[in-house]
Amino acid sequence: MSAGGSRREVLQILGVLGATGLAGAGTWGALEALVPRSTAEAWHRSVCRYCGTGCTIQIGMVDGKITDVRGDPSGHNRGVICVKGSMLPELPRIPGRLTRPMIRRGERFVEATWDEAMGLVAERFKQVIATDGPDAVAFYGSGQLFTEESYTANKLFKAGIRTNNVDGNPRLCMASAAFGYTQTFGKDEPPGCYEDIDHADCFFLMGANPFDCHPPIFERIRQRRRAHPQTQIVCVDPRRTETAKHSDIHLAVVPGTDLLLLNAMAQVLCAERLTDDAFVAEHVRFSDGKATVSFDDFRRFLADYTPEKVAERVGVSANDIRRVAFLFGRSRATMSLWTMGVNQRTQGTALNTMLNGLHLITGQICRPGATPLSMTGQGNACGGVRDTGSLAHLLPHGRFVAKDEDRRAMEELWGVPAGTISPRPGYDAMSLFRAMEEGKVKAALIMATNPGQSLPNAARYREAMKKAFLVVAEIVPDSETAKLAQVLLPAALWVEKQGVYGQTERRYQLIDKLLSPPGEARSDLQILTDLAVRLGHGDLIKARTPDAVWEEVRQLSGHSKYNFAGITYARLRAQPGLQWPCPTETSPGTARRYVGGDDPLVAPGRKIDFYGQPDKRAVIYLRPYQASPEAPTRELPYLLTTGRVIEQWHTGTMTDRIPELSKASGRGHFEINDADAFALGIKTGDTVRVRSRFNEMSGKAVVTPGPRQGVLFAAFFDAAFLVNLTVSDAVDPMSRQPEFKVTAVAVTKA
Amino acid sequence: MNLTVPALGAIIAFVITTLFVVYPVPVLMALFTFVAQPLFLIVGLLYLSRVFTELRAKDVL
Amino acid sequence: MLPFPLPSLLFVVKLIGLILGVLGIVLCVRVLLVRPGDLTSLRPINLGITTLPRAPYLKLVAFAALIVVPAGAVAMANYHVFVGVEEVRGCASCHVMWPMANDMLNPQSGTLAARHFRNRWIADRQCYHCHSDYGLSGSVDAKMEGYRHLARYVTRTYPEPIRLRGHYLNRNCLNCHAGMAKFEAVSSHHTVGERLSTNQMTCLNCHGLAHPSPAARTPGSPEYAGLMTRPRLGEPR
Repeated sequence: MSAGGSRREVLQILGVLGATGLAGAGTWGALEALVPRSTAEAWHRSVCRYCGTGCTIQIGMVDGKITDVRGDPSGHNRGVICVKGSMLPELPRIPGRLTRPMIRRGERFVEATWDEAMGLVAERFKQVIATDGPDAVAFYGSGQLFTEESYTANKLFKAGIRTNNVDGNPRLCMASAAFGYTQTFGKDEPPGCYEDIDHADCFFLMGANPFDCHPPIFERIRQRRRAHPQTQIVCVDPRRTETAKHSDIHLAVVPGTDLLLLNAMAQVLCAERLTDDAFVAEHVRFSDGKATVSFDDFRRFLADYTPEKVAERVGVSANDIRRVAFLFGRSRATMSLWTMGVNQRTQGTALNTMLNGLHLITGQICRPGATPLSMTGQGNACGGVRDTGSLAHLLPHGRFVAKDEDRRAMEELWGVPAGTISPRPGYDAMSLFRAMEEGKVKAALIMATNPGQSLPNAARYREAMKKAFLVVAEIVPDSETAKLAQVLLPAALWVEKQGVYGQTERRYQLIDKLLSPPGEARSDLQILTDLAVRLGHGDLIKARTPDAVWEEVRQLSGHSKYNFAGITYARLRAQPGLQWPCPTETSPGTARRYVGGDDPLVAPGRKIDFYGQPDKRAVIYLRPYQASPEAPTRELPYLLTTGRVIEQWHTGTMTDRIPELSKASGRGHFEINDADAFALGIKTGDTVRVRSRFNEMSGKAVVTPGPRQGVLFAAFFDAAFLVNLTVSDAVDPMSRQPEFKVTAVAVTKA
Repeated sequence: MNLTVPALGAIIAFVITTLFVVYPVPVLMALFTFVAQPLFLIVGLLYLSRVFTELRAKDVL
Repeated sequence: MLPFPLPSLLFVVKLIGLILGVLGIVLCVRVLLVRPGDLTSLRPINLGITTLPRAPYLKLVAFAALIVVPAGAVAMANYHVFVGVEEVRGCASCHVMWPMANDMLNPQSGTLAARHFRNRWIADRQCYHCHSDYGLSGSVDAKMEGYRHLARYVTRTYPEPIRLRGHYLNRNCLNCHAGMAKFEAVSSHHTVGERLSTNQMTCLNCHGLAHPSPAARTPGSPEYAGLMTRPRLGEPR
């Protein structure tokens, strides 16, 4: 071979290798450039706007618009959300948003500037305060406001305006649970957490339909059963809901009677020696509400509640009661979960304390899988309202208006003169609207809630609201409450503002601002701080941004047992929420309260420490059953109970404006038991007239075997089907929570 | 027609391919996909171009 | 009935591939050993079934060595690329997939992969049934993604934990589930039916993790060590 030839060959070889390298690398490069389509370009962690499950979500955005919402795999919900959460991309786009302040002129509203509107509001508030005193004004807030917002309103009204008329819609949903926990443990909020679901062997679901109303929680329960097929699920509900269908035992109780069930279960547990006497001896005190009594007194009290004695009234068999009691006591770990069926009752507090009590007498508490977990209805009823003490009888972080030392402590912490905070608890929700009726409350600020549709015996209070100077901060101009307002203020929604949400299991999570509010809408915090300055309380309300308010709140919490001083915005951005107690910035948070090694507030050396009570003992109450004032009568022989459906959130101001959800839920209607419908000659689609002591209304009927015989069900999301007109406004004497779940009615075909 | 270069290239490609066929592990799959396959292609094109040239020279094409 | 077990397709492919590979190398060496004079020689070569003059014979050898046998070898090799990847052990040959495989085999796990495996809802090639885009009948997009994954993996230019860059197509779920009684009975499926079929929304929103979360697959997490062990796949079921 010639030298030229071999050099040519070498060049050729290099050429070929080079070409191959280029081809290979070029192919790879081309593959990298061909980026597959995804639903979003950037993802941001946030929290769902709706229920108390408080799902951690990932919001996907393209060009500043939300295109996708998914569950966050690192969140407590492990990537699971529900159909409402999946439709969150549509939420910022709902039609008909309120974009400018509006002032009522007769029957119409006229657009105004912020200055005009807020000027009018401040002027009227000042006027009323001057002529009738601070207790003639009120704040009615919401478990859907951010914690920074509820806290600011609470401080402004209680320490600035000096009225304790600060209450909100959590009174309608969680008051009984809050009272229950406080009476039992000395402090509000659950001892356990969602992680207990992964360890429970027996689930006791009462007055709750998590399949529809807390779907990711129910999915987690089902996951537990899939991993552990011997897990038992007991469901206590007058209706055969989807939850009941997926349960092992369904007790279809007669509405209003289930304290009989709980007392009977306690009776069986005591009689069959399923109690943990050692635990009781060390950690429990019994009380009849006035004085301490003994365990024996408790057993004697329960003698009236044997399964045989209560079975007929409750509507389930004695055998079933015994079976459920046995499962409850004997399972390795029993977890109770409940919501409105237990809370929205005239004996709601008693039901809550007895549920807690069942866990205490059996020692089914303070260990993995064993705990009484009250599920919260709204996304921020816990963090925003209960924990900040934004209720008429509370002060922040577990303090009480009625206690001198608590008022002194808050006055000091807030830097206001001694005696600033009124010693008189303010009007709870129902009392507030009655006070409006009587002209005692003349002006009120209502934010992020819709009492015009959500209050029981609605007609009475809608009339009452017309009498007051109502200032309503809302996202739409035509909610049932907005229609009753004197001044309408356009509010920012969800990720159009920044703040903290605290859900069922004491977990606080941060919602960052990702969008601008439409038009001139402002955050509720901005509205409150503006009002504060105009009312002359600028010195008190110095913190005016979410960051500043959060700093103030978390530092304040360090002076209490609701200590979350270690939860900074930075930490909330770094991880999917933190559960308090969390006293320092290196605390990992607390999964199970009152447990040594987990809860940093537990006294050293103690394994279990109910430190919320002065004697470190949780309290079990002897509370006799009282029939509901709405027990059926001959004239009103049926029982109406209300609730939600999976596609709609509360009064539908958001979800009913999203077409897919609105279409899926259909319109409001009465669910009537098929046997009852047969007796009444009613078919699906017929119009029926439902009459209670309070009011009467017509609506479409759907015949279904779901509700037990004698029971009707209706959801309350449809403004055109205002079922709350007929619902009883009787309240629990302790928690002052209304009894949405039990109303005696008559039903006729229209 | 000098097919030394294509043949050498093909041998390299064959070695990779044969190893991959018998041991289908990720590294060999990558070498096959990004090296051997392009190499076979280039070798094939080189060969065809030389055949084409030769046939041209003989007035066949 | 034959007196011996039939060999699997995989074995046949490997055998033929090996034969073709060795043959190819032999033929290429023969091409390398060609002397200039051979190409004009017409001396006959006896091939048993026929005799050919030397030059045409060598040209045939070259054609075989550089076109035909490579095509055959490449075809055999691509069996692994397009069909072999449908096997679970094919996926599990990359260690970043070990957490998925280990989780799938874990009888306590609640992920979708584990549940489908544990309940025997998919008979074999479990990964492929849900990630069907990877195989021969999948989309071009998925193929290109697959090649990209390969390049990243062998050059170790991937971040850990690995994440899907595009999005998962719901049709992989709906192919089996849509139309089934249990699926149709769930009202929420109809509520968002169109969003699911156009991939605006993922089925995983309600049904949770398909595989261990990215947090669990992050080096240093409590689950990482357990997830990153070589999975024991055993015999195909």
